[in-house]
Amino acid sequence: MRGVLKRLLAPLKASPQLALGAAALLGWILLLALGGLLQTHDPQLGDLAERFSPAGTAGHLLGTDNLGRDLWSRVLSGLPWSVGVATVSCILALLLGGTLGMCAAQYQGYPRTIINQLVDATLSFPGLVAAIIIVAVAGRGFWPLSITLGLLSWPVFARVVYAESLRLLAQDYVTAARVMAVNTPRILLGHLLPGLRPVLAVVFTFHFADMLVAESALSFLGLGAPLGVPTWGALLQESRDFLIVAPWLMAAPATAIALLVVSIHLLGDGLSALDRARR
Amino acid sequence: MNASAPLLRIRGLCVDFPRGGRVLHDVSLDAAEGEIVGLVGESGAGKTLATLSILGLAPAPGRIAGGKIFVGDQELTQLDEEALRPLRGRLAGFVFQDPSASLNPVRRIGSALIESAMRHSGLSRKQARKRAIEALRSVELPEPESALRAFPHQFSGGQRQRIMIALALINRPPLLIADEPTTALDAAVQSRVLDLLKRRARRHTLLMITHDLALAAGFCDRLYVMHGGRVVEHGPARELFSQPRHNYTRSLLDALPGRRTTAPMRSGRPQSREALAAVRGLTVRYRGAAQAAVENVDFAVHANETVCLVGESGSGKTTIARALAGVIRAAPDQLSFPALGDDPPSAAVRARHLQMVFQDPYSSLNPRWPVERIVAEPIRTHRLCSRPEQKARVAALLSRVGLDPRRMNRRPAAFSGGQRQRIALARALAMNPRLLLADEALSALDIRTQAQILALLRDIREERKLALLLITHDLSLASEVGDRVIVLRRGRIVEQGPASRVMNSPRHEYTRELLAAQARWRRGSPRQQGRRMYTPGL
Repeated sequence: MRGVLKRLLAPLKASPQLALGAAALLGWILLLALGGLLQTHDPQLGDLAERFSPAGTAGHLLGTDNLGRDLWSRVLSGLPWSVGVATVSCILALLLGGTLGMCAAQYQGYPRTIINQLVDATLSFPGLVAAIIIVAVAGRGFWPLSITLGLLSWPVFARVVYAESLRLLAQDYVTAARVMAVNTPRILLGHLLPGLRPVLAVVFTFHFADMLVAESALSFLGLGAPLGVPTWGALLQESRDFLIVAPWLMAAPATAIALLVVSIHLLGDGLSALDRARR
Repeated sequence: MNASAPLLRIRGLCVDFPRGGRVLHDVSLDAAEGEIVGLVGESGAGKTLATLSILGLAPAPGRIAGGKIFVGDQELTQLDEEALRPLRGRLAGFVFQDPSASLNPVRRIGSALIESAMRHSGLSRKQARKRAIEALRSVELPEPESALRAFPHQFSGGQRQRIMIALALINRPPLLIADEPTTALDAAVQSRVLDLLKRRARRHTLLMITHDLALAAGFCDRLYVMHGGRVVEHGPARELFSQPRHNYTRSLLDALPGRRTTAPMRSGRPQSREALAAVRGLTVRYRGAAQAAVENVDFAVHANETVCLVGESGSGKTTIARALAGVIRAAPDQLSFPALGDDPPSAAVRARHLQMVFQDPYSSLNPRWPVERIVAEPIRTHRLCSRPEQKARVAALLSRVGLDPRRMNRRPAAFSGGQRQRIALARALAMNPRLLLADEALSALDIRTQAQILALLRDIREERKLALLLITHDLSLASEVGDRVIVLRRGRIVEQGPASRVMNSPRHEYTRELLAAQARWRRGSPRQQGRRMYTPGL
C-alpha cells in the first residue's frame, strides 16, 4: 500500500508543475462534489432589492446580477454542466479524432484519403447549422449537446494526431519494430500512442477551453442547456448586456473558465515535462 | 608562421555550467594569420564550446569562468553582449556542419548576404550587393547574380555549404571557424569543399573542428587534440600524426581504418554456396519520383560472409536494405531467401532470418521504453521464451554486447551513442538471425567507439556464424571489413567483386573517383600514395 502511494507521488515530487496541476484538479473535483453545500443562496432565486450588488458585498462574494441572484452560487451551480459538457465532448473528439488520425497516418492509400476527406468535409460544414440539425433531431439536453460538440470538433485532433503520427512512424524504432514483424496494432499502441501523449495533452487543454465557450454559443441559441441552468457560457452571454454597469458579471465566469483551463494546462504541461525528463 | 603575436590567442579558458560544473579546463590555443588549425576530438570533448566561447556565444547557462581570449589586440572575455555583437560578424565567420539547417529556407540567398554586409560592414545596399556577388564568386558558385535571387533549397548540399562559406567571409573577418564543415557531405563534394576552404584560408586564419583525425592531419597545419574539455596534446599535424605523445592521441590513431585490427572480420573460409538472401533485378520506385530509387540490382548474400554495399547519399543503399527487411514491399520474383525455401517467407519467418541495425542510435530506440522492454520486444512478439525466462535472456544479451545488465531498467537517454548501438545490436541478436543488416550502423559513432563496435560485430559474427550486409558510404571501411564490395551509384550497381580487387584495381571510373576523393585530404589512408589524384571539377 505504501509502495503504491509512493509510486503515485514520485512524479509529483519530480515536477512542481504537475503537483500544482494535480492540486488544482483536486480542488475542482472538491468544488464539483461539494458544490451544493458551498452555495450560499438559491442560484435561481433573486432579491430585487439587492440587484447589481458589486463583488465583495457582504453576503454576496461575487456580487449579484440584474435580478439580484447571487453570482457565486450561480457559478457553482453551473459548474457540473459546463465541465461535464466540455469533458465529454473533448473525450469524444479525442477518441474519434485520435483513432482516425493514427489510422490515416498508418494506412496509406484509401483509408488515408477517405479520412482526410472526412476531416475536410467536417471542417467545411458550418458548425452551428450542423448543431441545429442534430439537436433538432436528437432533442436538447446534456448528452445531445456533448455528443454534437464532440462530433463537430474531432477534426482538430485528427489533424494534429495525423501530422505527429507521420513523424513518429518514420522514426527508426518503428521501422525496427516492423523489421521484427511486430504487428500493426502493437506498433500503434506500444510505440505511437505514448509518443503522441505530449501533443495530445496540449491540444486537449486548448480544446477544453474552446468547448466551454462553444457550449455557451449553443446555449445562447437555446440549443444547449435547458433554460434556467446557469452554465458558464450562459452566464457569459447574460453578462454582456450589463458589461458597463456590472463588469463583475462577466469577470466571474470568465475567471472561472480561465482558472479551469490553466489548471488543466498545468496538468498537461506537467505530464509532458515528466515525459521529457524520463527520456 | 608569423613571427609577431598570433591572430587568435586563447589563454587558460575555463567555462562553467551551473549544473555540469566545469566543462572546459584551462584551454589555451594559438592560431596565426594564414594558418589552418585543427581542433580534433570525439563528441563531447568541448571543441565546439571552445570556439563558440571566443565570441561569447557559449550556450545559455554556460559562463566563462576564467582565461583570456585575444583576437588581434582585442581582449574579448571582458566585453558584454552589447559590445560583442557588432564585433561578431567582423571578427569571425562561422561555417557549421549542416548547411541546410543553417540557412533560413524562406529567405533568398541574396537577402541574407546583403543584410549581413550592410549591418556589419556598414555598406550601402548597392555596395553590399556587389560584395555579395564577389563573395559568391570567391566560393566558385556558378552564376552568382542569379544565385542571389534563389532560395536555399534550389542548391545542392555542397553548394549550400559554399554559400555558408560566402556568408561567413562576406565581412572579411580575419578568423574563419568551421565546425565539421564537410561531415554531412558526400566524399566527392567533401573534397571539393575542402579544396575551396584551403584556398580561402590563405587570406584568413582557419580554425577547423573535426572528429576525423586522418582528415585533420592531412588538411591542417597544426592540431590541438581535445579530450574531456582539455587540450591533451598539440603540435604540427605531421609530427602529431607520426609521433603522438599522449595516450589519448595514440588511441585515436589506433582506431583509424587501416590501423585497427579488424581484418579477421573477413571470413577467409571458402564461402558456403547457400544464399541467405538473393536480389534479382530489384527495382523500387517511390510514388511521385521521376527516377527509380533502385533499378535492376542483382546480388546475393551467402552464409557466413560479409558483404559491403557502398554508395553516397541517394545511391539507393537504404532502399535496398529496407526492401530486404520487408519494410518496403518488393515484387516476390525480385527478392528471395533461398535458405528458407522457395516460397516467399511470412513476415515472422523473415524477421527471424534477418535483422537490422540502424544508423542513428538516437532514433532507433524508443526513448520512452526502458532497455529491458526494448531488447525484449522481439522476444515478446515472437514468444521466444516464457515470461519468467525473459529477464535472464535480456540480461544475457546485454552482457554479450558488453553492457551491464543491471542497467536494464534505465531508458536510452542514460546511455551514450555507442552504448545505444550495442543495445540495438542486442535487440537484433535476440531473434537469433542468420543475416544481419547494418545500415550505416557505424557512421554516427566516434572513431574509437566505431572500432569497438566493429570488434564486437566481428566477435559475434564469428561466434554465431552470421552473415553481415554492411551498408556504408565509407569505402575504406568497406575494404577493411568486407569479403565482397558492391558499389552503388544512383540506384544501380556499378561494380562488385572481392574487396581487395575493388580496392586495388577498381574497374569503374566512379569507384576510382570515390577512392580518390576519400583519400584526397586524408593522411595515412592506404590509397593516398601512388594513385592518380582526383582533380576536382569546379
